[in-house]
Amino acid sequence: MSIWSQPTGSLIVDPTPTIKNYARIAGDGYYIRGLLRTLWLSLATTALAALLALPLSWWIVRRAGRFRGLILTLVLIPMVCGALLPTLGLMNLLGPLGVINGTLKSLGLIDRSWKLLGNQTGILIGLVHAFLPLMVLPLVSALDRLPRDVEGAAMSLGAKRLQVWRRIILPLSAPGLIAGSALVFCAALTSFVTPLLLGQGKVATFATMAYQQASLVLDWPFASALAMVMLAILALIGTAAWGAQKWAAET
Amino acid sequence: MVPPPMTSYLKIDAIGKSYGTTRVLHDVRLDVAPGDFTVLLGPSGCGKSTLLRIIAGLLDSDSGKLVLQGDDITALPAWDRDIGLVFQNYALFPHMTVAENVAFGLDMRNLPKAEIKARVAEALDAVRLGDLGDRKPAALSGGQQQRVAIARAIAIKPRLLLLDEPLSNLDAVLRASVRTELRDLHDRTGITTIMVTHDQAEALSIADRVVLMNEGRIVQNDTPEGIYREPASAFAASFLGSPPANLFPLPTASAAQTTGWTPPPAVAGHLGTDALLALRPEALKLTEEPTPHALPAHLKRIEFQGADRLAHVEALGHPLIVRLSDDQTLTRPDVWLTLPDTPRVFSKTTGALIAPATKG
Ligand SMILES: Nc1ncnc2c1ncn2[C@@H]1O[C@H](COP(=O)(O)OP(=O)(O)O)[C@@H](O)[C@H]1O
Ligand SMILES: [Mg+2]
Repeated sequence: MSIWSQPTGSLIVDPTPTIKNYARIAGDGYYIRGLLRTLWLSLATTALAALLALPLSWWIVRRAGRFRGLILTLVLIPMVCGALLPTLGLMNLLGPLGVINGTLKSLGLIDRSWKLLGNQTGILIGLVHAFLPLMVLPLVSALDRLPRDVEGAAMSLGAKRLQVWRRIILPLSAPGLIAGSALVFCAALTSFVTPLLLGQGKVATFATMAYQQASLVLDWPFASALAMVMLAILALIGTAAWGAQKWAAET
Repeated sequence: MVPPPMTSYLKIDAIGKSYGTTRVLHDVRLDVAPGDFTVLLGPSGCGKSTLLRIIAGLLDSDSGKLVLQGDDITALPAWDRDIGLVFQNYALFPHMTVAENVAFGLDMRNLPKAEIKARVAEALDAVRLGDLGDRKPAALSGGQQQRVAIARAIAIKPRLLLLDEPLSNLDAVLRASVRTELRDLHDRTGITTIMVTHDQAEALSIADRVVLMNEGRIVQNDTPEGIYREPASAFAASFLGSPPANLFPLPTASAAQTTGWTPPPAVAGHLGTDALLALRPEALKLTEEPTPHALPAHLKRIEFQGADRLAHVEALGHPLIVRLSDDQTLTRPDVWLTLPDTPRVFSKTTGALIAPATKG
């Protein structure tokens, strides 16, 4: 369908094969910028999620003890609630009169509200919050396979905390980290509700653009061209993750 | 004669540790002499591993002090202690080869490549694994993995080598030979070693000093022979030996008389008091004819153990085990039990030694 076309102002699809939808994506700075912005947001989400999930997962596996089940459940809740409700909740937290700004102001830490909605910061917070579980779960299962006491063994051999992480924990959690990164990246790339609500229509991502075309402009062929680009990126990520897993297994 | 002051290589000074409200170590004090092979022996859950982790610096004590070679190391982080540690489950790094595992501690010390290579080879040779350096730990047997763990710990030339139940994951045949090898390795390298075990036979056979622990306290610190022959508590008597000493509660004088038992003079005074006799199976003798001071007993069963035969008897309603001499035959169930002249007497309630009075 993405190779069909639809004349401006018409709702009739012209089924003659054409690449003009793709040409439009490539040629229009608006879409290229949207694509780059989406890639950057997904990448940043992945990096932040990894940074948060690594210590969290390690703590869950090694230190949480009998609270493990409870904490895992808490971590998973955003995932089972769907995208909408947690995002609406976040809007309450992040808004100019929201909990975060309110608290910071009443503590006298800031004079003017931080702008956390309607920009990339808000979207980033929302994406990390929504997809953290996708990073935590594979990491927890990878760290579960860490033999007992390897950290202690490394420390007794002279490794400081950072060296223990770099030489022991990170290499051994690589499979989980790769799987989690691929999942979070793909989820962030295709996520729609979070950028729409937290971006408040001011930040266009690839998914919101496709939505616009499909539901508002009603240019279905162009919307499917946008979707195809996204699919191609997903396939690329999948292949890369698979390659990275193989590489990690060998080294 | 005043004994010379003991040179203490490692001084464990009133170390205490609690988990929540449970006290796991009660002011543990221990001096380890340089070059000694010390075994921490005690039942499971008595705090041996906890103490070992505190010495290694992997766990903080709540109170007390550790002094190694004159330096207070209590607050020193594990990575600065130069203490080699071998875990019960080996804790090898699965993503590294055997050689990389052994090299890890040397890498951390930023030694030159050539020296690392030489010391890895030396450590692997010491545990006779010279040709397995390129394997991953998963491709090794349990016994080999354990040698790697030992090689990794000794490669750093540690000031102290700690071993937590190193033999418990090996099968019985391997255990006996690795025991000998561990002792050989210690004698060759001269590294002051502390090993943890719950197996008394292992402790007696390998140690210079056996440090017996119970419920978070050190209850005796002695040579293997000393702790076996002169247990300081009923617990020590009943924990060491296979089978361990019989704990025989003394009857009242009248009960003894009714059974027709005239106890040896050293025992007679304790009749009817809060007293137990600790009787080693090999210190008892069974006869079919009465001897002076023998206790009438009933033979229930003879257990054949290869080199040994153990007679299960009952005297005054209490079960006892007697090691029989090679050539002895017993045909009748009614037998006489001869006790040693001066058996060790302990308090039934506290387990403390009552007689003979301790020397010095
Ligand atoms: N992390 C912990 N939290 C709570 N209790 C613990 C912990 N580790 C050990 N214990 C308790 O401390 C006691 C001593 O344990 P441990 O030193 O492992 O004994 P051992 O090595 O002699 O078998 C045990 O009763 C054990 O249950
Ligand atoms: Mg233990």
